[in-house]
Amino acid sequence: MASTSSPHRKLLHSLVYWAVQRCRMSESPCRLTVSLKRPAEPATASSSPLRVSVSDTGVGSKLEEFLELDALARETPVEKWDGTLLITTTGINDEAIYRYRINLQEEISSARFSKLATTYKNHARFSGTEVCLCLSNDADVDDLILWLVGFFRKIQVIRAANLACELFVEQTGNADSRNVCLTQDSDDVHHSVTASSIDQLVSGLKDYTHFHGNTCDKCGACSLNRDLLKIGTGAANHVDRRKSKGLHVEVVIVIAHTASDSTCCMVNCPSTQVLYFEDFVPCQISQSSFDVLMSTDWQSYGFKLKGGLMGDEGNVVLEWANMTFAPTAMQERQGSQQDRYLVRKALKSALSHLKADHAGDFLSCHGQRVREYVPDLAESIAGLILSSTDEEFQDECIALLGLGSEQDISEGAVQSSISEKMIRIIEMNDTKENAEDNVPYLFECEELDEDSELDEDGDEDMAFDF
Amino acid sequence: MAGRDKRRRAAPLEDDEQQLRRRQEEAALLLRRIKGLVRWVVEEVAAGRSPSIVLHRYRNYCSSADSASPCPCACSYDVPVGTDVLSLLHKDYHTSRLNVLLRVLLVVQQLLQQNKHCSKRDIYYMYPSIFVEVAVVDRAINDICILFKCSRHNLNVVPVVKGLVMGWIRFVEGEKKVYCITNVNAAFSIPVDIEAIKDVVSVAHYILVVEKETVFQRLANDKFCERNRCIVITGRGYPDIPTRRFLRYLVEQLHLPAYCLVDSDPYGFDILATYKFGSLQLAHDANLLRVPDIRWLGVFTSDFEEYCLPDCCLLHLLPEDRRKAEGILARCYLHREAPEWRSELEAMLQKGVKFEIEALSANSISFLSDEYIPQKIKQGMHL
Repeated sequence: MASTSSPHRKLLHSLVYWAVQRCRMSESPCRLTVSLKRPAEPATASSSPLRVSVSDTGVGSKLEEFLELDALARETPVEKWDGTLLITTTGINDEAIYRYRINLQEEISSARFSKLATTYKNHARFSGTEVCLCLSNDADVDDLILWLVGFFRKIQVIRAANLACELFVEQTGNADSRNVCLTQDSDDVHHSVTASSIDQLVSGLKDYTHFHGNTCDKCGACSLNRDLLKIGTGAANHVDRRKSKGLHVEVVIVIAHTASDSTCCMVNCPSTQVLYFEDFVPCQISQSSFDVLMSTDWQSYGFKLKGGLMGDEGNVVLEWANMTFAPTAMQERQGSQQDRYLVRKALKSALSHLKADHAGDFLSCHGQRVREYVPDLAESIAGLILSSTDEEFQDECIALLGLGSEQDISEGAVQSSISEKMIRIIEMNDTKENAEDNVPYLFECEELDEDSELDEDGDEDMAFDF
Repeated sequence: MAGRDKRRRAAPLEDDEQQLRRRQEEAALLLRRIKGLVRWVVEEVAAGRSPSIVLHRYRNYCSSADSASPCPCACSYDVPVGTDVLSLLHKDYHTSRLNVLLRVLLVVQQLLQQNKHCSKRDIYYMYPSIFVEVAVVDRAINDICILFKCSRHNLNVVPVVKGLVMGWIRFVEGEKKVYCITNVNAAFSIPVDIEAIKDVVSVAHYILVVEKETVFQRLANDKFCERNRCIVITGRGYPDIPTRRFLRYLVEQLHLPAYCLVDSDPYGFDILATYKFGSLQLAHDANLLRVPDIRWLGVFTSDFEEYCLPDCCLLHLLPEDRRKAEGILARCYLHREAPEWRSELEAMLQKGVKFEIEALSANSISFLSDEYIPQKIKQGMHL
């Protein structure tokens, strides 16, 4: 579960997490709404509290999960949160809507739960839960709201099937209230509620890239380039039949189109935000998953990882030494068991998918270095062919290149033909040749550092001789 | 010249016409080989395979020797110790080598077709952005020689000569007469084209190789060759290929002993070793370039006391001198082929001192020419 730094965030994270799970357990489409009402007057110790409500239309709550907040309640100073939750819940088959007050600060366990008045449903069939609480309206509220917006943006990436998420922030008592309203919408014209979870993820991540993370405004330049995004997806799962529980990992990588003429300054940024989810809720990345990210062989795909940072909120940012691409990667897991092997497998699968779909764009670092020699190599070979006085030899070579029997084949044409073929050879072999060398030599010898041998020999005078 | 002096005449290689025909045949053969290589490369590329050129790796010495138990290493003057594979797929520095090799080959093909010659520096200036430095061209020329099993001169790449010769010899190089014998104290350039040498006649009793031009000049000023029937050569530091080839040629053809005079320091020793064993850089051609029977005349560390040289001429070995000496001591050929040389170098390292040949002139300007050299040679005081 999340271990975000501020107690307010931890609390909200937990409430939203359980709300999402309740929605997933329901078989019908659900709505999750978080609403914050903040008073207009400036924040002081004695100002009115922040009223928060987390409501969902998922299956009814059994209240057990709220007891897990016990430890958090004890850690949180009373002035920040009094440990009280007002819960209204009903299951689909329940006849009434039940209301409870839970006071987690209460020492006597029997006094923690108080049942309040119920309301009869009159045979109406619906289910849902609403949790209301008050938090202190202190100086951190703006940060909290900012965090919440980011959190919701991430939830909307996931697009859990049949779940619509909304966030409302209102400032009461002020004519010029600054309100935030985030509702689920999508720029993807092909978005369909019946798409697979990984396709939903792809669609959600594409939208997310337009917002560059936490801002509320879409980037116009990036929206236009939506179709130019390069996507790689991978999944791995493990089913443990004995425990009837499975672990499923999905990874989606989105690479933004880099354009020197783009008006967007974020496009050529050499860092990647990694979004990590557990059970459809954004979470702090696990250490083992972070280790997988850091130890992946990025160079095989042309990326040079400079480093990775794990922030306080569990956000991960990867920094790249080469600015060719600005990838945004995302990872999602379901299940409670951590499995480094599955994460690695899913990530590798996503990278391979990216490479397979966009041949040449994701050449390993080694492949890119070798590719740089191709123009010169092609020029030398073309020169050797065309400057030979043996016309039969020239014709033979041109025929081998499949250039036909036209009279005047230009040097440029021969060069291009050789270049293209060489690049193809490098690309085709890049998947196998991502290490330095794999082929064993017949007479393997210790590596001669040729340059230093030359110096040691003192033959630098030789350079003046020829 | 006294009639009793033995005239030594080198067996003539061949006459002009034969030589020309041979050269044309060699050029044609090399052009065929180049076309063969290019055709093969094109075939491979067209078939979607990376062309992989295998080059033998040669090593005439290594540094893994240990004085306690000299281990049998694979170093050899004839046989390769390994292979390098130049292709598109493995180490990218091998791809770079392939790139340079093909570009130099392009130039060589043009030279052979047009019967022209140029130096490696000329080649460098044709494509400086690809070659980056002359040493890279040098390496590519080596690679081509290894690949086609030929020597540099076959590629029409000619050196700019550095070495000097004087003394009792005359010969013709191509069209040019090099008659040192007309003035035995005058310096002449060492010939560039060994294949073009003919009509060699000499009345010398031995060949003296000196490390430095200053010493060469000293001997010329002292009219050393007037009083000593010999040929004097200098490589002016580390000897280049023509100097080494010429020395070997003279030793083989004239059957004369060769003596080497170098400074008493690790660099002097290294130069001596280059004459005797060849250099690592040109290990593939070591057999053509080395003079295994060359004798070390001096100067030795012990000469300092023996000839009572002034203390101001004796210098301490610097840290880099020590490192150089230690590096040379580790070379396997010293154990195998010249243990007494090795001991002498060890003694130098142990005493921690060095001095130059010029120290011998400290007491008397002409001591080197008048006494040191003639005495040592007469008494056989060499290693």
